[in-house]
Amino acid sequence: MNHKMLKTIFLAAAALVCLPAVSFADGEGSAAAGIPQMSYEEFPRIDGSLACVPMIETLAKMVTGCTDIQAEAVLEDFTNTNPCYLQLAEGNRDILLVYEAAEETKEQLKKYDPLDIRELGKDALVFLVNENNPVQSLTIDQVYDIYTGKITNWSEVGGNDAEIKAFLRPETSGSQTLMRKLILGDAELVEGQIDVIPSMEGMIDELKEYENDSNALGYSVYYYASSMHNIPGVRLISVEGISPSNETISSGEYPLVNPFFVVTNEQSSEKALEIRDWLLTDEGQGFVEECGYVRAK
Amino acid sequence: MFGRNRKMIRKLTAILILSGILLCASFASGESFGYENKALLLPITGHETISYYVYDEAGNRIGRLPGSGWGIRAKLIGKDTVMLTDDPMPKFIHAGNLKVIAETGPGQIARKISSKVYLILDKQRRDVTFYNENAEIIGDISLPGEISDSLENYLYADVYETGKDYFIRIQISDSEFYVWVKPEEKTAYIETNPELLKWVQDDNMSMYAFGEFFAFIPYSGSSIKYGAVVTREGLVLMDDLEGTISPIRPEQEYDAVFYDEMINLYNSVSAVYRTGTSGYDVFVPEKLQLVGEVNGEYLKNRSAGGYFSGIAYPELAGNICEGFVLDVDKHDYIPYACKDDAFLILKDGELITIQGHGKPLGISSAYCVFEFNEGTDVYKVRDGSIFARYNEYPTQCVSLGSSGIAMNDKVEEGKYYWQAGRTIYDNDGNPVYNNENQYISAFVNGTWYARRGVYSGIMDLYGNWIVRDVLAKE
Repeated sequence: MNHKMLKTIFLAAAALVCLPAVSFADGEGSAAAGIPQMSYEEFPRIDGSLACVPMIETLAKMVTGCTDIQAEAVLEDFTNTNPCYLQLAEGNRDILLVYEAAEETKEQLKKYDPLDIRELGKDALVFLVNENNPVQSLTIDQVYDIYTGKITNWSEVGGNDAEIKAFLRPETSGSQTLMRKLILGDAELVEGQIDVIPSMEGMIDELKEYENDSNALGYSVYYYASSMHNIPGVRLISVEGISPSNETISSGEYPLVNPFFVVTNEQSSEKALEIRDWLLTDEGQGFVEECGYVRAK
Repeated sequence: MFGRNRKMIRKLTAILILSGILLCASFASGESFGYENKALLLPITGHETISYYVYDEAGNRIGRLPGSGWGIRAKLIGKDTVMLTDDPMPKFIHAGNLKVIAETGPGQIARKISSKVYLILDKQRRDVTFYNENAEIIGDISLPGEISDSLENYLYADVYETGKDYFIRIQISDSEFYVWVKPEEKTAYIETNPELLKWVQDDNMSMYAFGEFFAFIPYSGSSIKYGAVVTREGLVLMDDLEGTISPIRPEQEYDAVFYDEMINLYNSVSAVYRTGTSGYDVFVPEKLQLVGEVNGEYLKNRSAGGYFSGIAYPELAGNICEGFVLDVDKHDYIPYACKDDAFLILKDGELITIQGHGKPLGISSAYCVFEFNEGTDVYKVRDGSIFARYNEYPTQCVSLGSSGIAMNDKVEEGKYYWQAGRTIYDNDGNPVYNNENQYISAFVNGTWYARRGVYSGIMDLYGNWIVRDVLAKE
């Protein structure tokens, strides 16, 4: 089975995320009574993190009964993690399903009315290597040392005698926010050993395609890496000996867990608040889980 | 509450995986897709990045171009060739395997100056190398003088096609050069003929290259006083179009002559044609009247239609336009004219008036589009019959791809699709799909290259994804 076939099968499986929505939209069973219902035109102006996109689209289909095409189009003005906070603050969005904002964004938000930020689910910062890299696990300290230049060779962490090429996301990205919060803090990063990769997808692609393929180290969030861009040739590694999975993230066993949020403000539409409130119910949390994410509670 | 759905999910998993396998098989055989280009680019614009995905002929994404980022622009310039321009390393890349065909270095600037000619300027060496659409060198020159460091990106170039050769104006900083490039001989040289340069450098003149001569017409066309036709050798064949040259061909011959070459000159001033047999005819199209002839014996041996590579678009100036349509089905040229409020097609030597009171919006190989107060009409060029009518967006006829109106793109033999406003229409003018929810990059053989929401990829006419990639916007 070649890579294309594997990818297609994976996409087919990923498409299942939408199936509960189809069923709900058809009004199956009384259990769906609590799910908000609204017309496509009433659906709130929504934005968020890239890793939340499948959930946003499924939500749109479920509450409006819209088509796949329409569901994709609700994110026509998608801006991603940090910009979307400002869009909401400025009144251009009604609701966000989003990962944590960078410190710089939090500073910017102080001049606006406060946002209502509630925990919607959990995800985790995960590290990826090329499948040819023999290293199976890193400690948090080792990751810190790699990105700050104290460790420069894979042999220092149990791998081959090869220079480590560490990939970094831009400071404005959601995954870099987690990297700063959970690993790096305010640490200065070493030049030369690190390449900044503009996109999350690019980070993973580079790990696969980098010319000295087994030398590179990158990171992402678990849902994106495992469900949205799970490509052959790239492998997740354990941290502190714990492999990332929905189970280890839910239990907190995996050490780099961080929540993602549903965010509104006082200007948000009633429909947005209705959706927010439902997402935080047990039924709504079940929806989050059924979409493939780890529920908050 | 999700238990029943889980059961359904398990059932449908098998169906979807089976579908995926079948889809893969379809991709692998290539039977479902048949793009003209072996590889196609889809530019993806995010907040901080521009990426270019490359797809193979089976619709599979085969890679992303290296060097993505602001400042990089990629163009698919040939069947297999991509040119990356601007900072920092201009290069030609094979679109299929992403291997570098021709690489440049620091201090070099690449420009596309037409679909057939590209150049790379080496600032340090003061060299300009010209490439064709396959990244093959077709000539190179050394520029006199120095190139200012502070204005290293101030590079413009225009190209005029003259038969098999190119006459190229290159402006770098405040210097201007006129260069002949001869692809067949793989040579290039700077033009120094003072007689020609006098006309070329006249800022008040519009320059038109055609065959092996140039025509010059003042920009202010409403009260034309003079014009000129200059050969490469510098001979001015005619310098006054108003009154001093009497019609020398009978007016009635106009319709019957098969015109295989043409120049449209703006502002309703003049048109210069090369006839199939006797050199050049000069017309004032306002009157559709022949006013003069320029005889150029050295062009007589050219084969009819030799200069046409596809479709001649009309120059729309006010309500007057002229041109030729290459009928791709019959490999024939159909001359047409739009004058005042009428669209005229010359068929078998006869004028056909299609419709009055409309503004011509464009013309393709088989159709012409007119805007009327009550909407937009699409006509079949050959017989002048109405093809479709669109009323919702009377002022728009949106182009798709680089070939103008979407109906240029033939989905299958005898079947066309076209777009007006944001709606795609089929042969009969029936709306097929409304594309208001996506950004269209290109439309090839009935397939969209598009972005919708956070996704990019290839979709069918109806907006369903054939290949979908997640677009990262950060």
